[in-house]
Amino acid sequence: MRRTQWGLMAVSALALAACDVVRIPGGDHENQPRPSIPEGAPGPPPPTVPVDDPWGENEDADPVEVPVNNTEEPEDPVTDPVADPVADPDDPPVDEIPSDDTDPIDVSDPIDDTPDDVPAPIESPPPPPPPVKFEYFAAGDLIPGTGTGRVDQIIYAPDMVFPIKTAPTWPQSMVYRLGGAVGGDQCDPANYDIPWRDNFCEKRTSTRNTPMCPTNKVHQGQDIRVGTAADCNALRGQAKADRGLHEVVAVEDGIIQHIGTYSVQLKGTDTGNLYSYLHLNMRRLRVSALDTVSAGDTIGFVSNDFGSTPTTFHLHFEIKAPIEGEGIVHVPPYMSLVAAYERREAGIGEVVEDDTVGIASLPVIVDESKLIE
Amino acid sequence: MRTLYLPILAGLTLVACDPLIEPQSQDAEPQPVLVEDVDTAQPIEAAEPALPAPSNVAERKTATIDWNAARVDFAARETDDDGLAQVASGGALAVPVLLPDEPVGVASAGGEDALQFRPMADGYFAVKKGDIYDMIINGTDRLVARPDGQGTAIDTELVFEETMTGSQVSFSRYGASYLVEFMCNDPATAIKGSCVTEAEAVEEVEKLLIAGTR
Repeated sequence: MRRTQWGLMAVSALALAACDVVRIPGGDHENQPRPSIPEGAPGPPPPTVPVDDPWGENEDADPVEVPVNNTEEPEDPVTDPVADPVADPDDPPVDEIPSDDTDPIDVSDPIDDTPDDVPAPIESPPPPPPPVKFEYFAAGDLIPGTGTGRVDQIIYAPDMVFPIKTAPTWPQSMVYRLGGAVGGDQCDPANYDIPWRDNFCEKRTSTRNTPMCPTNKVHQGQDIRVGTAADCNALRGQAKADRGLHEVVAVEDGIIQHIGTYSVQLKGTDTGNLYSYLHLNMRRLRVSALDTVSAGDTIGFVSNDFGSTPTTFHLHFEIKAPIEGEGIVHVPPYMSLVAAYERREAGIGEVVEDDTVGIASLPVIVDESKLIE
Repeated sequence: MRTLYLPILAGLTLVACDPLIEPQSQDAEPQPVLVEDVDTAQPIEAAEPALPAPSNVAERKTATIDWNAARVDFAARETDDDGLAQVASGGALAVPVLLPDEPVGVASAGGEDALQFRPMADGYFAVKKGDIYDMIINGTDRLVARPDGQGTAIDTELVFEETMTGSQVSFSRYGASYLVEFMCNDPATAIKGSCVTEAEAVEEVEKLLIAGTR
């Protein structure tokens, strides 16, 4: 009987040894120090302040005091050179690490002492793919029957600013679209909100050539319709001298080399390229000959100046570049424009492969005597 | 019977015991947490979309200029124009300067000289005002390399082309690239490129003199 009693006492004492808190009737249990473990939590919460022994390996360490209502910012562990909150208990003490150089070991850097089994810090997520902002037919993919394009992906003006400051733009043929030699109205909505289309090397009646085109009698630049159909009608309603809704800007730092009767030519400082802008409102130019300009500076406004010859509201844009073995010649501006527009819009263009959008497949029965630029 | 008091008291105490030892989760081991994570608990900002760098950028290079040939031509030229000669001492030139044999001034906004010259980092340009057309002369040492390029051509033929604003003649000499444009002042002729014939344009280019070299 006595042996049984001693056995009960021993079991009770052992059980008590595993007991951290003993509730005493009338005691203040709520304010007793305890970890705040939410229900269902898989494990203990992370320490909110640096601790000397986060995993409780050091039995001699003082218990961590965790405030019940911890509203203060946790102390920056970097400011505490002594505490080493993530020290691997298997690592030798800092003062036992052999060192061949004279540099003191920076014990304040917790990263240096990160244990192997500590998970890697969370990295920023990869940037999302850039949004698609516009569609375009491939370089050299002219409207069928309008000439032989140059399939050239080269960006001849890699850092250029897009020549239209802000408005949406629709590079396309002016001759072989509505309002050109195929008839129709230039302000037809069908001319807007369609994929871009290369018209460098588009056929012409004049003997304009460049070694960059497969054939002779070609268009030496890219035509760019700007804005919306409503803008087009608004321009038509403006007095000729006042016309202008959409700003045209310098594509590169440089000098306004020449101002003609319907053209402005910019000489680029860095590339040596020459950029020609045609059909601006020449009465509202913002520059004079030999002005120095920076990329993005306003030159003028999109209009339809072309001497006494009518043309549509658009910008005709050319790049002349020094090509090895060719001299300074007209080069395809199309892919330079694509890249510049992508930068302007902080999005990418998507290549359109089939020719079913809008009226891009107009019947090409053109009275070439009515060809306009 | 008294000897049972102590085990009973111990048993009652156990009932009031709060076990702080949480049962081990079967799903996850308690993971040590980086202090960095605790201390830098800041919201992760979404990264901006990054445009892919284009891979099809034109490869550029600087032409090798044959200054010896330029100096020989410069010494052999025949001109009495002191103004033209002054261009030669206008500082470090990137390319040999070809100009009409006329008095020349430094190009500036509002300048009144008939022939205005402007040196550039890559070469120079000059503008000659005229009644029928303005002539623009560009010279540069920049080059867009071609995959099948054989190196800088020292001399190339004069290539005449009509343009939307008149016409132009391009060529290479001394390793540099030159372009002479004829900007027609009458819009009616400009559109047709007919204010200057090919023969007239080529003749104008052939009359250019070397006005500056190193």
